Amino acid sequence: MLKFILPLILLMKFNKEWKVSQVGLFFLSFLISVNCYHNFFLFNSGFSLGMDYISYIMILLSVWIVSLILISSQKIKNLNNFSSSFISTNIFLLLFLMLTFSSMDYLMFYISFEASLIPTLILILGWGYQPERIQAGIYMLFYTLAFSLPLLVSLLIYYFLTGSLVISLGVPLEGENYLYKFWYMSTVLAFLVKLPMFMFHLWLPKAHVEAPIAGSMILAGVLLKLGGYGLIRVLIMFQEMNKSFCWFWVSLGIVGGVYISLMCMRQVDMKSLIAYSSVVHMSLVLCGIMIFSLWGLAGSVILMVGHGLCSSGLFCLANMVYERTGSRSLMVNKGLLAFMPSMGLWWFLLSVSNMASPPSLNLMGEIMLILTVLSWSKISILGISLLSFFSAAYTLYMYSLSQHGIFYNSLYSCCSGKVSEYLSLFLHWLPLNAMIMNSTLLMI
Amino acid sequence: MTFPISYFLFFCTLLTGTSLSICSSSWFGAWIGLELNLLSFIPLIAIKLCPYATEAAIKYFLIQAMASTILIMSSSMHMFSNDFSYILITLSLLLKLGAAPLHFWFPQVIEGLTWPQAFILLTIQKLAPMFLISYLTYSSNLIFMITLAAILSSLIGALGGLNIMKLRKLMAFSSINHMSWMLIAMTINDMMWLTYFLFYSFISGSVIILLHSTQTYSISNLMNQNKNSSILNLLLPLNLLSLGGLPPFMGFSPKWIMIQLLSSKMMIFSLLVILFSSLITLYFYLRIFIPMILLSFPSFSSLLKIKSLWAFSPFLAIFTFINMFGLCLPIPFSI
Repeated sequence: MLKFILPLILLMKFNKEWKVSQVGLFFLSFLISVNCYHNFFLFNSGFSLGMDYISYIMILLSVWIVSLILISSQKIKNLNNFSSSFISTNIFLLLFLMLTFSSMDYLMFYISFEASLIPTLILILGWGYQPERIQAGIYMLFYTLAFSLPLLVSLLIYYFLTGSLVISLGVPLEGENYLYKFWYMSTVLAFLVKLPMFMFHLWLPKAHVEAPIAGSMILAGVLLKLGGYGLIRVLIMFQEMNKSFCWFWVSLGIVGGVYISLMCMRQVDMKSLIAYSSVVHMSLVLCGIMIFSLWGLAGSVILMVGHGLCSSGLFCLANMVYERTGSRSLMVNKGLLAFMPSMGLWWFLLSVSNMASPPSLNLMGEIMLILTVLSWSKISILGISLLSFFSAAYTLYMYSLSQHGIFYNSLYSCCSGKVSEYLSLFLHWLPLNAMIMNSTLLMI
Repeated sequence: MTFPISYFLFFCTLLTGTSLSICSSSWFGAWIGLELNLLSFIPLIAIKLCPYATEAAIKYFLIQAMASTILIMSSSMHMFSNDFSYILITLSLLLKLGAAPLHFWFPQVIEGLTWPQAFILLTIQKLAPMFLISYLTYSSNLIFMITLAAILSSLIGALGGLNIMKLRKLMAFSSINHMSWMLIAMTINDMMWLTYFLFYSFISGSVIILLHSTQTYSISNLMNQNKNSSILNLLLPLNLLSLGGLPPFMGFSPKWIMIQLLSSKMMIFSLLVILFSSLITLYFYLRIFIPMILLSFPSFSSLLKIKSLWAFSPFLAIFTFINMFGLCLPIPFSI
């Protein structure tokens, strides 16, 4: 693992040079992606770090998203808005994310999981747009911190009782009394808040709306996946307990997903629409993880990767519109097809990927998850069909409302997209639709 | 910085008093040490003859003299009523410490001090009463009292600092909150509270050096002068987050040790109270530095000459470095 982490640390030296760090990050993601030959359970291990199949794809995703962030936030470089501290914040964030995904120890996982909050907070507070970003940042920090401090306590109790915090050596706990239930809840809720599950999702739309493009991309692309990844790791300890709580999480996921997708249909802010749509996708991921089947696990990992690329690309698009018109409102941004015609293609491609159209990873993940949920209970077909119908409906709503219609007259002289913007969208879209050809990379 | 030679003399007797009261085998000796400590701190406070410092010195003297009186009275009393005298001794020591139900003098006194004196009050002056309390943890009554004081001071330290704009008062309330961790550690293990104390004095020292080198005493001061050095914008927030105990910084490690200790003794209730009140203290640390971050614009800072902060104090660099990366310290030993 150190051969990926040390270059990253060295890259912080070049935070004054935007282009050098951008090329460096892309080179690092190339180096990680050629490691895909792995065919053993654990590899690159050492220094209590190591990767297995899930960690590998998550690390690749996070490096990729951070290098795309640097392409998409060129505006910070152009305005010289603390560009060197921007780069070092992002690289710190990436470092903590890599440590989180590759740590083989629950406590190190916890520490780097919490540490990734601080650069995110600095991103939101430092480069956000409006004064409300203070509220959003503090809300996010305290919401996630209040639920993850019990996680620390429960991990240390686990260490005290079983004597080890190494992830793959975890002993399943067998106990059914109230203390165990409390313990289980305090462990799982930290990740359910981060995921976010319906009813604990309130921090997410706030943070997304106030965050700069970099913050939105990293939140939707990687930080939400920390929740799913942590659940996969932590549920090893609570196998017995989780079986008795499975019905609750799955039904909350499906009903909440339907409810949130209805909420999406009445959003007027593009960013908050995309943020709510990620809550819908994550509720499916939650179902897949909690059911404890092989297809459920593989499907949720695939959907996490697909959603990370897709919604981060959609946030990019929303930001491009925002940079030109100064508004994210769907009431103002109408008829964009007329003044950014070639961007319409990317709106279309990323929107249909968000709807889980054929050659995308989202399709594969959703098929696997739908099959899992159906094999778990036949009644859930009602909720699942409503969920996938409405998730197509709100994406169509976003696409048609922003692209069609009569456009606002003062937008005549706006320029269409720049090459770097098309590049960043293409690099979101390509892995999303090409990785389905080698899906063994994502299956577990 | 120039200071009179008497400063040095009084500082030596201050340390002598502390070590005398720690090492003494009788309560009388402990009382002598505490008195020596008190009487040499008073001139240290009043070294500048301004009304605020004098007021602080008088308040400090009255409170500490009362606590010492109770201490010497109850220690002479314990031949005929053993339990009662120890309860009184504990209360008087808690008063000397400024722990929760008896904390009211503490923010008021610290308001009149300069930063180095405040640092002495926050760390060295805590040492002797803490040690004396840690000698008292043998009966369940006293342990209950100490636990109660710990829980109360965690709540009061968290809630008291919420609405305050003065940095010294904020540091006082944060010290009351941190004292709760030390008091609860004291009921379990003698070594742990000392470890926590060392970590706490290190971190608060690094914050105080930073604030002293820029002579800031309130949040609005911080907002006005943040433009003269952009590195202060970065360092002070990170140091404060370390004081709040967020994971990648050194402040997390004493919390980690304490949580492990308390959860191994299954003291879940008091642990949760202290943990969540320290989350509230994190909120007022955030309140200190959020205006600093928000009000710094790149267009302003390029106009002004950036003065190197390392020129202020030689300790600053090493303190803040260890503060940032202290949690990585065990890594070379874990291979």
